[in-house]
Amino acid sequence: MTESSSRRIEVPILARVEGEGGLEVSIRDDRIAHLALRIFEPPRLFEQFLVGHHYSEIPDLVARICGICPVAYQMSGVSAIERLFAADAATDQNSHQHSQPNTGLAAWVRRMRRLFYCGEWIQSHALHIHLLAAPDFLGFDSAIAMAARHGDELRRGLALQAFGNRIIALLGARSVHPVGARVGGFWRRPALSEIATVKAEAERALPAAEALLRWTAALPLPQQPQHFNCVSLRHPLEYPMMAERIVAESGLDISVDDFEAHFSEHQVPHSTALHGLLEGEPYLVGPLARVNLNQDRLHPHVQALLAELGVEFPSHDMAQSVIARAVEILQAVLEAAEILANVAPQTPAYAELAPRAGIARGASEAPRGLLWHRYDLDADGRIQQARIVPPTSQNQARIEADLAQTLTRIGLNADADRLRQAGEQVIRNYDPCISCATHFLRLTLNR
Amino acid sequence: MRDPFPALDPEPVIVIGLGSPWGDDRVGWCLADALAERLSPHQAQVLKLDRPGPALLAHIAGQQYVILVDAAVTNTGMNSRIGAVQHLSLDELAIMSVATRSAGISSSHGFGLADTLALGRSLCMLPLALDIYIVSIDAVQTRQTGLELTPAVATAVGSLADAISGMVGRVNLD
Repeated sequence: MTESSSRRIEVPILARVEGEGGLEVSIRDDRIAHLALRIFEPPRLFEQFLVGHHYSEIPDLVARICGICPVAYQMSGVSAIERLFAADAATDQNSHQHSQPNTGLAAWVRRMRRLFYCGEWIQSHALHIHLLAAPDFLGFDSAIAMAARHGDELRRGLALQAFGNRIIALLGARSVHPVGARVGGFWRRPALSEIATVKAEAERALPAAEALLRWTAALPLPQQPQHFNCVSLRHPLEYPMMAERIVAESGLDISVDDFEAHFSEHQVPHSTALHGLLEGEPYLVGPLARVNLNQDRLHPHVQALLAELGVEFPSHDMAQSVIARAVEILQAVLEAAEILANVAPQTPAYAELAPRAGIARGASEAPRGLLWHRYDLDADGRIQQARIVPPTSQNQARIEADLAQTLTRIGLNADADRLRQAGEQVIRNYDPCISCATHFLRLTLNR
Repeated sequence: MRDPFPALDPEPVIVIGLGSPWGDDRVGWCLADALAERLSPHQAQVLKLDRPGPALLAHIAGQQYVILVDAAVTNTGMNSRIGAVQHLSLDELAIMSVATRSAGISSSHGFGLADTLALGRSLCMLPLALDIYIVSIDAVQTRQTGLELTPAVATAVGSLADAISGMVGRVNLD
């Protein structure tokens, strides 16, 4: 008769401004009996905070939810409101930038929003790749430790991050919690001299982005494919940033209006954040999911470089997320350069919209994945109810599934440091906010 | 009369106030506001940055002379009095950061000022001259937004603004 054994691995707190949480694993008889990713998600508090405010305040309020992806919150918010107000003349999300003349307010706003979003993807992904993911894959404790041997790569990454921030500041007046966006467009158009400066930077960023993709494709990544369902927005012509359809590898293809009919959120005892499920099952959102579902929408230059490098998508190996982020940086730099090369003066930079009562729903692709908003408005445009479903919530169940598989594969009898390190790396692969927190984890192991 | 050819002027000093909208964590911003009223763009470029993390390096890399002002919860050492101003070297900042972190009283921000400057030093991205001023604050006074600094911290802004503006004036005379 064998004696039963139990072991408990606990990471008590993930401390980080964009989210707090911890990891708790109980092992009994060499099996995981309980695994919980505990996360506090301060952005959730904003839903009630928004109630009573006027719709016009949404861009500035929701920008405060996240210091890394404020543009995403702003764009999902304005998309929702404009869809309700039938203002798609100003946004026209499903038209392609090259399929219609670059004239008129609608086209200008749409292109500037795409540029705005390119900036956020570039800065967020550059931060994650260089300061969070790369040290894991190269065997360093931190980016600082990595600097002596990979200084050129880190300097390149910081330069790309700075370029992304410059784009955000161009349209948002500042890169952290920008204030330039509004329902109907932007408060002001950037001066042509400012655009020329950033355009010149885009031309210098392009070779850096290409080199980054080559570098990530050559990283010594582990090969650990898993089964999971990918979810992202889908645009008829573009690589998705703002779009009308939500698709999944499982075959789902729905309007953003129908999100709540298929996606559910539920409370779990160990987390203040809700867990998102698609038809009752965990799923993945984020750069790897986007590339998997939209590789045919990538810029031809990106597709050609991937073919040259022999990198194939779709991939169900989460380690490939670092490559997917580099793919999206190159995509965003290419698009930003093209947009900046052809910006016409535009005054005014926004359309005035008339509010009406109803339910506003909209979505965009934050750097970390699908970000869905709903606002119930009264006839004066005041928010009666708000619901925000951020990517971190949607990925939590998937992260827990990944943690269980990864820790089991390593061996549940492995020493605590090995399991803690593996757990941190799994979490870091999903979310730069939570990833930062994992650097500060303290692990308690009870066997 | 302003110099009509500012491009020929010496490289201005860059003063950066770091902070957030939260209570006394705004002290770096308030200092920047005070200096912006006293110093002309000819003398110094004054910036206010909201928790830039490693993006700070883009503002200081390759510059001649940068002055950084930030708030910190410093419940350790002799200069932990609220409103105390410390002029720190990079090494001293790193030591203070480790001490406060190990005492469990540091900011939870993942990549703070000490980490950013350590990374900048490793990557040779620091300015030729760098002055770091840290104003001690109480963590309790960072939990609400507001326009008024606590009195001790507000006093520090005045004296530090005097010191920095005088220093910048001397640099511009050199």
